[in-house]
Amino acid sequence: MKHNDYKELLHLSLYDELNEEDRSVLDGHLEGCAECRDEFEELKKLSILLSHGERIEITDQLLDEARRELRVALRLENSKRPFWAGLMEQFDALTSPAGRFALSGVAMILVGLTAGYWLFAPSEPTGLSGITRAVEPSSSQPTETKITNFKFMGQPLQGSDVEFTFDMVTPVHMKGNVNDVAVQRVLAQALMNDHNPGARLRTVSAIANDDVALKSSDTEIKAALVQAVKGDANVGVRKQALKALQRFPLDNEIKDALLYVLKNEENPGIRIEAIAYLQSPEFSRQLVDQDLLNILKEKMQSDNNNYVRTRVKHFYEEVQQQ
Amino acid sequence: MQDLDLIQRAKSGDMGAFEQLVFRYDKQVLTIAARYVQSSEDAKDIYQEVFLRVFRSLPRFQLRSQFSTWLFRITTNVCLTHRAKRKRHTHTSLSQDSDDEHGGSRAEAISDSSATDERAENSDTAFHVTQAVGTLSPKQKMVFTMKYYDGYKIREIAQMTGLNEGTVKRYLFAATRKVRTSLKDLL
Repeated sequence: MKHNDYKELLHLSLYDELNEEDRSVLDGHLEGCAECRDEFEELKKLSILLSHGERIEITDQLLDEARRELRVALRLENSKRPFWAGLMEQFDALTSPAGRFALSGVAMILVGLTAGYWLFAPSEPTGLSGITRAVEPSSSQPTETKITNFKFMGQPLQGSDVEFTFDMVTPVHMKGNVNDVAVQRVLAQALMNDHNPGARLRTVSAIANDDVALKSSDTEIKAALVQAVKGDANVGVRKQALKALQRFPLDNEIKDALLYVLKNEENPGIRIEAIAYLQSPEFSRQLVDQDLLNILKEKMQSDNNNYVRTRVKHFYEEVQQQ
Repeated sequence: MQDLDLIQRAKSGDMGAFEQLVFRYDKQVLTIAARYVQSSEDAKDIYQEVFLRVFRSLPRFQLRSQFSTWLFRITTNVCLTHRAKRKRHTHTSLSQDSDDEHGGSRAEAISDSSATDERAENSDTAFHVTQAVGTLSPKQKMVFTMKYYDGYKIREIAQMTGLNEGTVKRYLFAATRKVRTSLKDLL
């Protein structure tokens, strides 16, 4: 083994990457080589020095901030994405290249037919799975479809051929009942994706209305509410989402959302709502886990709101006695 | 639930499943980024860019490699191409002759600090170490911070960066030599 090979072993030793065999080879060499011994000592000092380097601590708060910002970015991302892009991605994931080619052709024909129909056929009110699509008396003209995001594709084609993509946006006027699953789906999407906080607030208020019967099977609405409670930038939306969430049976998913609120929500009123829901008779022993106990313990000691601390302490004691 | 199940559900548009997938690995992603850029704001930017890329590319993810391998490869790529939003407030040279804003050479700064308290000394050392690491090339710095600050094995770094183990070692040795030279006065 050459001298430089031992130097490599010195470095590997410093990185704690030496196996037993190489370590004993290196130890043997160090006994007889003063130069390598000196270098080894210096590398050890370097290692100690490096341990004093500045390090950003990854606190829970930093992680929560990153998660919250990511949620907002994902919501924007979702809203930017045309519907058919998602469809194409699923289609990409499901099919082989050959099948994909054939299906592409079929899909293009369907898109062409649909586009032709939307652009040139007179509009008629159509039923959408139990939703009345109401057309205003004044809008008896064909529904105006807007073309946006128009882009020519690739290189210019020969002759008069062109190739391009675009999004078609058609205004839809729906009238229905919030208890209708199809309406709920639209509302859930609006709650998760609309940029306008006012629209999100109205959406969540509609869901939170006492006349609305929410079922535990309404998973899309529930997921949208959980997301809003945890990450919506608007405090009113978070508050209403929490109110609406209380209409669902208290399960682990909701418990986790409530704990998230308790831990991260800046508004004390919403934290109080969260702890009140946790303290409801619906809370069962099955929902108690170490996470819950840890968060309660932390909040009863460190929450900056006196009332929250007291409520959490009572709840913590109740849980302990169960 | 396995990653595979969450990936399939996330691919079909289940945002809850995507979130669960994110939460499994996001602390590691944020840690790698923070150690690399030494700024919590920039680390959050990298974190967001990584998961947006994952979100956009997930439908095309073919499950040929582990999700974590793919994710960390994206993380290291985003780190390497990241441009810091804010310049660090200190840009002093570490060359042998230069004096820094601490009013003397590094060796003097440390030896004179014997009269000051230990915290100030550590902070001063930390400053010089950070500056020395800052002189590394992006790839050297990536490999170096993953090894020294995050404690990954060379084999793991190779997997996470997509480099082979020999190349990782080469970057690591070069980085160690360079940092060692920069900090010579303190050794």
